[in-house]
Amino acid sequence: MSRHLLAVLTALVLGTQAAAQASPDSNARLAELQQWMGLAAQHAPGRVDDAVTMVRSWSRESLQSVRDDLAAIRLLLCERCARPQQADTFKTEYVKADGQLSWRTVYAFRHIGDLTAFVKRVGATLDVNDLLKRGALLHTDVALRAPPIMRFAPSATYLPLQRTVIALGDGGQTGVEETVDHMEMARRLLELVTADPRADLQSAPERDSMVRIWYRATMGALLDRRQLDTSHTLAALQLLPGEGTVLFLAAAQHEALASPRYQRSVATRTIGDTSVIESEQDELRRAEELFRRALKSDPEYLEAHLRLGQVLGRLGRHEEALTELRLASASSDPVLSYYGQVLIGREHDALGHTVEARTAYESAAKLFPRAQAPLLALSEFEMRSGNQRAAREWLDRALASQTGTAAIDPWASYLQAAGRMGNAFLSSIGASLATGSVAR
Amino acid sequence: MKPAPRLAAIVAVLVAGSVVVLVAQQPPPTFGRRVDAVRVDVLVTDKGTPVTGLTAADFEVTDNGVTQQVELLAFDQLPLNVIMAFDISESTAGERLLQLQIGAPAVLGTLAGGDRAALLTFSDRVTLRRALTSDLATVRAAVNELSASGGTVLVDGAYSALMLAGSDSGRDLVIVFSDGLDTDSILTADRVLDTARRTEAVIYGVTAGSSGRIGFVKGLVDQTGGQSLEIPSAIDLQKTFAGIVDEFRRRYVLSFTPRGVSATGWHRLQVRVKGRRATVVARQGYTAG
Repeated sequence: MSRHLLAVLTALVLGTQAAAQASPDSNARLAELQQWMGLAAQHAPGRVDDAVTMVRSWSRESLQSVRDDLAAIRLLLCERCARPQQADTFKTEYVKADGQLSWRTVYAFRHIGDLTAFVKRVGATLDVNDLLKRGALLHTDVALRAPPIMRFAPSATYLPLQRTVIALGDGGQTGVEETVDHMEMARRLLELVTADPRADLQSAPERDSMVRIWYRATMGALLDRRQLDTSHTLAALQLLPGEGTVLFLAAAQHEALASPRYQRSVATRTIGDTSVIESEQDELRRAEELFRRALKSDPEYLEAHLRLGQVLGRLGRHEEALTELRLASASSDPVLSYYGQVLIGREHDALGHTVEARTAYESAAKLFPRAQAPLLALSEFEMRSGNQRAAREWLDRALASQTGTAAIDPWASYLQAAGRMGNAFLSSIGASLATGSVAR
Repeated sequence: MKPAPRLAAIVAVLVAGSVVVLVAQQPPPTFGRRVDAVRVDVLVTDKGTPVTGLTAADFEVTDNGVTQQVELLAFDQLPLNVIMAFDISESTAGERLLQLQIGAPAVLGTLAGGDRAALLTFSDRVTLRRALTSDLATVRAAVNELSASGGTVLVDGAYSALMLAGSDSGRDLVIVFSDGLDTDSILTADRVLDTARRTEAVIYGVTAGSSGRIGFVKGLVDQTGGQSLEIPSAIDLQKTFAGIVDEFRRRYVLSFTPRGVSATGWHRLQVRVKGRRATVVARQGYTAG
């Protein structure tokens, strides 16, 4: 089977070079693949363990080879795939991997003989989907928890598995650098997930429940860590365009990008032809569109109502904002209720509804008595009304609430709070893998 | 933000009503407690050097275009209230925080008996480390305990500092140090600029390595008649801080009771020195009522 396939493929690509032998490099590459498989198998999801520590130092090229080899192995293991179709698919895989048939692809075809022998040895026991998912979680943990070591000079040309990172401090942009994109590596592994790898090569990751949860989890976890990965969000929207949580998290990312924290800090607005961040108004409008799509998918999505309200307020549509915020105020989650009251206070204030604004801020202060934001807002309210003594009393409360044990004000984490469930989702995936109960 | 029509209507009714009542029963309506007398801190320089020895007669002050009768307070006898409002967000970690800790004692070292100091910090929240006190050793100790982390609620921090400065006696100097942009404040810059118009504090804004990005601090400084100092590196903080207090002590404190102007609303002030070329820095005006 494999010799026949190899002949077909080399004839397609190499013509007269069909007799090419596996080079010593191929052995090294195979060893690297086996090492990667071992690390993926031993990795405890959610932890920065030895596997994470090792993989984070791997080069972009090594990871690309691993991914290509896994694609090839998946093909070689497919028992019921028709030969001509198989060859076409194999070629397609390589075209997808590299964008074009490059020297790496040619090398990969020479390498196919070694892979074939390897598959013969381990193929019977190999669960390709499980390996791909474990590998994806390994690279997810590198992306989230252990920044990769490999770094390059910024480049205007997109290369697979290369990620441009714009680093921000609270004082502005602190640097731009290229690193290995382990989140893309995870995505590209999950692209290979099929319903039954031994019978069908037609990738359908969107139909796999673990993959769907993974996208929600990683989008949330990235937001929670203030890592706004626009490539990842675009990939999620392309794969799962109707998924309510994906739409919500994508919207929340644009909501964050519209905030002063990012609008004032990001100096590198575009890289090559790719826009990193749009204007505040454009980001708000994109967030509005995505929140509305999320609500179309689930009209009871209270946090989507809340954040849509915030976005509409920023767009100056205060009455519309209040309508959405009132819908969100039905939430039993105290944090969401708190956000709702603060934002309702802000919108009423913008409309000149002094009494209603004050009432909303007082409600927020009751929900989180040690939270500083509503107390400062109430102080400023009094100051504006000419009541300096009352203003000072609210200020004293605001400042007194910060002494002693660490004060808690959810307002400080409003932007990333949309992703607060991401880590829990990731943990659930890890637990499922550990018990072998990963849903297909 | 402009006052909404409904709020404006309520204010107008109250003022009109009080006029009717007060005409019959009380002295004519003038200013609230805070603005019975208006105090204006004035810096006069000639080619960058402070001009000293001026008297009240050397100044001309107009309030909404109406010339006022001013007196010169014996400012050297007024104690200073220095509120240090420092950004200790994560971007100040390391050298900047160290220089801040070296620089702050330079402020405290210039204070004399009767003067007071306070220390307020802001990162992702505002923290009052020491309320106004003449026990400067405790302020110094609080400076040494600072550590940097979190975002920057610069606007909230500036508002809190302004409010702390509204003390009963003395001259209020607020020194705001920041190196970054506001990221998380609940209050808006416009609202806090409005607060600045209602207080008599003078704000000196010090920014280090910020490439002129702190428009809000500049606005506060202009509003209150202070100075905006951009330093290339935090290593200059000690000298800068000491210079601020020294300059502040050489300002004039003028006082006048407004005559011939409305008892409410925004009052634009213009201060000039008669008969000589000099640069005058003073607050742009005040909000009454």
